[in-house]
Amino acid sequence: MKTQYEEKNAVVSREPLRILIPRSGEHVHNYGMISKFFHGLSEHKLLYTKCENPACLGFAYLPPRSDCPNCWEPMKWMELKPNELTGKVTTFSVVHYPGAGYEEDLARVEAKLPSIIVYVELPNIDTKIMSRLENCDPGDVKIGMKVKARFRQSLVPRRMPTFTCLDLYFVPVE
Amino acid sequence: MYIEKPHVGKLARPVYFVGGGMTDFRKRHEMKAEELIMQAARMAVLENDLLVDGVLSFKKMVDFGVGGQFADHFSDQLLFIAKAHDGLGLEPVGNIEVKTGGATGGSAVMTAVMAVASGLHDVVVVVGCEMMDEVSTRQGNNYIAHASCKEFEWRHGRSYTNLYNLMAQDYIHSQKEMGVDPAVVRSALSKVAIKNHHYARSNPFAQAPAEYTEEDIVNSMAVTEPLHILDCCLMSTGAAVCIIASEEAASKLTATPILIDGVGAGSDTLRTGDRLPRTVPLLPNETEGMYKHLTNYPGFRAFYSARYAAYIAYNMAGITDPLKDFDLAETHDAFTISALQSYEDLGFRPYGLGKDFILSGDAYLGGKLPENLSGGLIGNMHAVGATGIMQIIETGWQLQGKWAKFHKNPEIWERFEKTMPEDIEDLQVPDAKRAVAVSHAGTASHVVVHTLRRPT
Repeated sequence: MKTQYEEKNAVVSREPLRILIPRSGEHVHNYGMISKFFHGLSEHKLLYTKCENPACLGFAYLPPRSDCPNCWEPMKWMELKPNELTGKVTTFSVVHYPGAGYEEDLARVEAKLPSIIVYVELPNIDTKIMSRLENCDPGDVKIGMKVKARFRQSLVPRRMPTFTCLDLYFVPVE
Repeated sequence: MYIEKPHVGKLARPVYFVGGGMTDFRKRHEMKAEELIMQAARMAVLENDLLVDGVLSFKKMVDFGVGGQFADHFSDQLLFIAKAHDGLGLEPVGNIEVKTGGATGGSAVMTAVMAVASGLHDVVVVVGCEMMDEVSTRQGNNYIAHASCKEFEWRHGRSYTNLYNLMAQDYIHSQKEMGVDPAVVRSALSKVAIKNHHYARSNPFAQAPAEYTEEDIVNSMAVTEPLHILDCCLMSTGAAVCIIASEEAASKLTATPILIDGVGAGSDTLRTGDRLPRTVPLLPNETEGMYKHLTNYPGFRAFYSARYAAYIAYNMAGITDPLKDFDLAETHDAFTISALQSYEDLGFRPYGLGKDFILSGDAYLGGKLPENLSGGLIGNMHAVGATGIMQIIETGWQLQGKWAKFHKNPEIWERFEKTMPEDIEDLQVPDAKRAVAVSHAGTASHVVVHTLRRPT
């Protein structure tokens, strides 16, 4: 039995003596120059950046980066057109046992485990973007399947954006 | 960057592995970080047949320290190296803390190699540790996932297993396109896990010795699909310490110095999806044109950084065929899938044929290139900061012919409150001359390859 004193001081074990150190520090995350991307999601826009330097390779990045890693020049913000919001699944993973905090995150966007994580290839984009696939049975997801981007915020007033990558997800295209 | 021919440098003077020591590895230890490091350091200095008279004489020769832990989140202690270093009373000689995720141990050894090769230092103590027992496993997974892109990937599952599973799905898909039955790939993955848990049975330091069947692996808890819990590396607490020295110092310290004759480091984007197509740097055992069929390399299938690092280390060490030249390998089997991928990046098999390395029997003792005889990260340990150092120690001991001294020794088993199994296998590779050790981070954001050779 723990003594009252040990109980009060959050003693986890006596030998060796282990004590609980609560962690509650909040972290203010700065999206810097890619803030635009997350604002974009809340406006149902999928923004990416493209290198416009004629001497460079002209790659388009989604997830966006503010500066081109190849030539170090600032890149140009672009928006995917409605017909460019459909892409295909490059690879996927069905998550049954996530790390701490993921279920809480899913709850924020009314989603549940198991959750399907996909890498999606979109037209005219050189990278692949990781996202969540909804409206799909985990047994039905396939590499190469067509999927379409959807945005978290809807006209339902209570569905507020989270300003995280959870605001973007994909659904299968019939 | 578009460098397709990695630059092969050279070590300005020879560098040697002298000896090493480790704690046993467990999910939870009774000791704290600097105490674990002390235990590993005592073994390194007092049990490696050093030619010096005890700790005090040894310490007079030490002129630098390197060390690392992967995540300050786990120990809740920043500037870990200061406690590790002063715990061993190594002040006032200088030290550097190294942090490259899962490759921290390999990068720490590499830093020591650079320090000695440059002529700046003669005897470097390399320490590595991870305290993964101070948070729950799920919180641990969440912390480890912080080593993925915070804004775009960490939040999608908060688990590295997920990131590797994305690669596993793609790998299996590509194998299917090549006409390979996914059941065969699944079987190869299971055999990696079975082998590594099996070899862990003969390793007193190992956390997860076990005999499993393929059914056991696929019936274990599904973290994702196809990666089950027995496809994953361990979460361990423990420490490893090794001694790296110049030729002159090594000859004063040991009768069996092991030459580190190749070292290569490579990197790649943190987000796997950001990797743009490249051409394959060919290893000395590969031929021009053999990868013409490879489209979308490296994609999600290959670790370009591992290939890049291997290219440098092999060319530096004059390796012509890894399967023939090396007598053993310690690779970074963070997941069974990354083992198969690594076999290809390291040239143990051509791209697309990694599974044959395990299925053919080559990866076992008695095969062409016994791999992870320690049990690797799946059977032995993944106390992350210590892992790459463990690989150098295990390969170093094998080349010194000291495997039995540290493994088939009842006293070591008893020290760790274990009983040496009656059927312990003798895993000393007969007359081992050359070895390779591969340390790896992220989904290969960093890879460090060391080659070791017993001087003739």
